[in-house]
Amino acid sequence: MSMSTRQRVQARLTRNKVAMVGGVYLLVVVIVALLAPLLAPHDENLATRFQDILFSPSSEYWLGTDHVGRDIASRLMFGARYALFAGAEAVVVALAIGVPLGLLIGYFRGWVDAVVMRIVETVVAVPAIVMAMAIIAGLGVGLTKAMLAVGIVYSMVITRLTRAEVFAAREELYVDGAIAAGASSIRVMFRHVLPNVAPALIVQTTLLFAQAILAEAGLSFLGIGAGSDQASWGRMLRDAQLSIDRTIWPAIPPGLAVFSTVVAFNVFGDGLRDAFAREARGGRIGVGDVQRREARPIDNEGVPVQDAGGSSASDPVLTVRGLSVAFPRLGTDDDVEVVSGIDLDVGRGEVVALVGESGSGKSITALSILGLVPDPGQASASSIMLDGSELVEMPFEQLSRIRGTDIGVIFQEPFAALNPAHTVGRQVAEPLRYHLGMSRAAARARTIELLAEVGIPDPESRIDAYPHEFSGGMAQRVVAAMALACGPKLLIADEPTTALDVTVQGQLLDLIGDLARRRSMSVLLITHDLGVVADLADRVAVMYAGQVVETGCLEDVFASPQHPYTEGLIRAIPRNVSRSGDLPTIPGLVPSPWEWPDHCHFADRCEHVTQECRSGAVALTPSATGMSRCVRAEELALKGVREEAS
Amino acid sequence: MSLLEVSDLSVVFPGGRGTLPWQRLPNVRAVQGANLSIRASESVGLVGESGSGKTTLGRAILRLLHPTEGTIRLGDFDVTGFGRRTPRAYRKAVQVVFQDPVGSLNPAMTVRDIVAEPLRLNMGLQDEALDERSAELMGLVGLEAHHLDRYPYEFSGGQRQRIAIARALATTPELLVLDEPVSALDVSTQSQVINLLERLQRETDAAYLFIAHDLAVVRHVCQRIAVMYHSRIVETGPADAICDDPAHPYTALLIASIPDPDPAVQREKTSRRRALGRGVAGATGAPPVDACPFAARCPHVMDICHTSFPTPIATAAGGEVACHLHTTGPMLGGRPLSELDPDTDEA
Repeated sequence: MSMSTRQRVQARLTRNKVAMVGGVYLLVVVIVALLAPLLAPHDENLATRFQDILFSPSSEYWLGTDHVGRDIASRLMFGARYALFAGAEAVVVALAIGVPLGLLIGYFRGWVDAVVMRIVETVVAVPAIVMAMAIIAGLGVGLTKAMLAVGIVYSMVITRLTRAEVFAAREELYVDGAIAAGASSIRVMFRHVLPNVAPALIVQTTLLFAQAILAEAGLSFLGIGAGSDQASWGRMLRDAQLSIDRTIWPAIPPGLAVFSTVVAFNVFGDGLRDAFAREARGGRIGVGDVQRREARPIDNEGVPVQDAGGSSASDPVLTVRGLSVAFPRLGTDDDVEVVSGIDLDVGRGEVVALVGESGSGKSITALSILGLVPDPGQASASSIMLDGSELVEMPFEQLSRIRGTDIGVIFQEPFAALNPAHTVGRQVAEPLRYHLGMSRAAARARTIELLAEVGIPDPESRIDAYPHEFSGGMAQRVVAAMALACGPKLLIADEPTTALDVTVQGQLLDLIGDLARRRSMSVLLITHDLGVVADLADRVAVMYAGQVVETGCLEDVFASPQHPYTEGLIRAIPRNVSRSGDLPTIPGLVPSPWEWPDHCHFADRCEHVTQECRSGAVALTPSATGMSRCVRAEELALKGVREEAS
Repeated sequence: MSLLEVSDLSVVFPGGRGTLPWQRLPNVRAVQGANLSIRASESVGLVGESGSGKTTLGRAILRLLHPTEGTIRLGDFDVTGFGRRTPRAYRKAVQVVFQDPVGSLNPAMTVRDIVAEPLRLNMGLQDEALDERSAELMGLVGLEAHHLDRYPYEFSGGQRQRIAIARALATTPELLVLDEPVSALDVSTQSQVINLLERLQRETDAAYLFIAHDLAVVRHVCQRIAVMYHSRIVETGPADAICDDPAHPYTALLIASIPDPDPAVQREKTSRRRALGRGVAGATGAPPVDACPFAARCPHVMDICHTSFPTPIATAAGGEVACHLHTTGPMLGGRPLSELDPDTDEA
């Protein structure tokens, strides 16, 4: 079972050492504040002995005494109470005003939103402390009133933040679902929107707390905050200033207390933000290079490696041997393999499809070949050869040159691959200039040729257009032109048509097929769609739960599959035939990587399972049509596309 | 007597601000003059590509947006005549399942709260009756009662979609709007959910408006299909007739574009697809208002196609088609497109 959001956020926060130091410090401040009457050696407001003024630190007065003989250490401890009280008051006021107001204007928008936002902008434009002083002029002085004023000013910040978060949350499908289910606006706001904007508010509240403590110190120093009988840190600074001509010492402990508490709140708040933000972005792409793992005599999980596992390519452009990728499992010290022992060959001019469902490891396999394993992942292989050069443990600069020239890439989302700020011409020309050292004019001429080659009408004028001026299908053609710019030997196309409409998809598939033939370019096509495979591929490798389970020629594999998973996939697709009862299904779910058994990964979902399937690891062995990772491949008569069509 | 009757429905979104404050972007016509009817317990597929207006039409029926023109009726409800508040009885009668099984379930709520929400709001169920009905709904979609106390993140995509279906069925609606309910799912999960939806329709007698881009999936689930292209419904008819012998050139292209896993079939489809589409898809902008939106890509295009949108006429198969080939020019009169050019249009 996966961890909850809260557990994941907690795990990330506890690994952030700086934030944890800040958090522990704040805990100490809270404990001191709570236990001040017990901990303080002296009364915080009364001079112990009249003559003991401006003492240096000693065993009796740990931090010395101030100008009227009060114990600074005791005042500092009580000061923590006032700091936390002042911060809490301001934050509570800010939330009490800002959250409902932000929810209201963010949810309903319209003229109320316009009016409130103009007021908010005006208030925020004035420095917070000046604005607070103006409000105090109306409310009167005193710590409680001063922090009320600060809270009112900060409520503007909260209003603006809440409104922006509500704008985003308002677009969520579950909000539409709640409205369709008959939920009232109030219910939608408080039950559906508010809980999901809470993370941003928690972070902002922590940071505001720090600002409020600073504001308290400032206002009390000016004499319009804490009174003379309130031992706040700001008040201590004010008192220290009265004797500043004799000694600077009394100002130092409260000054450090304010400084360190504010820093602690800020680093803790930053840590919280990072912990939540990771959640939103889902990890970053790093460049973990592929480690060499010596070809073990025993590989494939205890089964001897076959010669050229699953390949019939006589002139291979790409050969991958023993590729595995592992990720650390959050919350444990273990690594989990998500791809194990992949062998793969792509011949010259050949289109090889890597097929599988989500979680099969097909995309991670492609990224590993490029040396682009996402951040905490660890890829290892005994060999990845691209047209005679070994990519495993190749220096980073050399590998990134190969990525730009010998390997071209098309990903699923064309607009994610294009920079919206530059013209498409500039983006296609960039690899030409950077890798091939072409002149500006030569690169432009070549770019026009490339755009024409990928079927963009009127390339001479379209070269100066920006990505947003293209439809999804046209943008994907631009991405193809970028991938082709340096004449790659291998094109890696990861779900290249999945984001496109079906009538656009057909033309893109035609384009990729034509390019492969015309340029004798090899293509590694990664897709979940067996129809796309049938359109484009020469050979197929089917992946399930981190392993290649079957390989062979397209026609053979689809006409007579040699692995029950391949059969299941083929039969489960609804095809354009008249309806007749239930669709065949594969029961159950793709298991998570940490649930993979030592034996056949498909055993728990397979209708042909026997005792033998669970007795040990299954090797990829030659089958009637290619290679299959099934102990019963020879005896089973599995159904292919023809049987289903009839 | 139909359950749902959508007549001459148009939805126009006002254009937003341009780069400069005084610039206005043109209005977006998401749906134009749409007519659609669904009988009780019938499943109707609404097929089209992204931006065709199919989701907008569904959202208008769900009252998640207000149409610009036209009327929607459901049984005795005059849906377009509702005021600001939508009657509880209508919310009870029409429910929805969205595409995205991650985004459509509130991550901060337990499955119990998610499934029980419509029961609480529209049926006034409480306490034991609520728990009992929630557990019953979980059973209906192939989940277990103990799943009720978990959060959505603990489930896979297919299971989340089952939860969304359980919630939608909670009030025993007369119409279920299914907006791409299986397109985010993997193949093996997708077929499980399709079978579930078909079984539930037999058991609950709810009518389905099944919005999807995948014609093969829709054909499997639906009795009738409506095809949308660029804000217009261009063809309606019985599912088998639409898929085997379409009357509109766009429908024919759409069918030829669905890839088939049989390489031999796919080779044949590829050549048919090339013959049925003209030009480069996606190279042209939005078509003019008073024109057939498919004119720029249609291999049979005539002059009139650029200047007027055809009036829909009845097809031989019992549907409607909006194409000038049937009314002017070759005068197909509602017969299948294959009669025009047997080489390219046989499906």
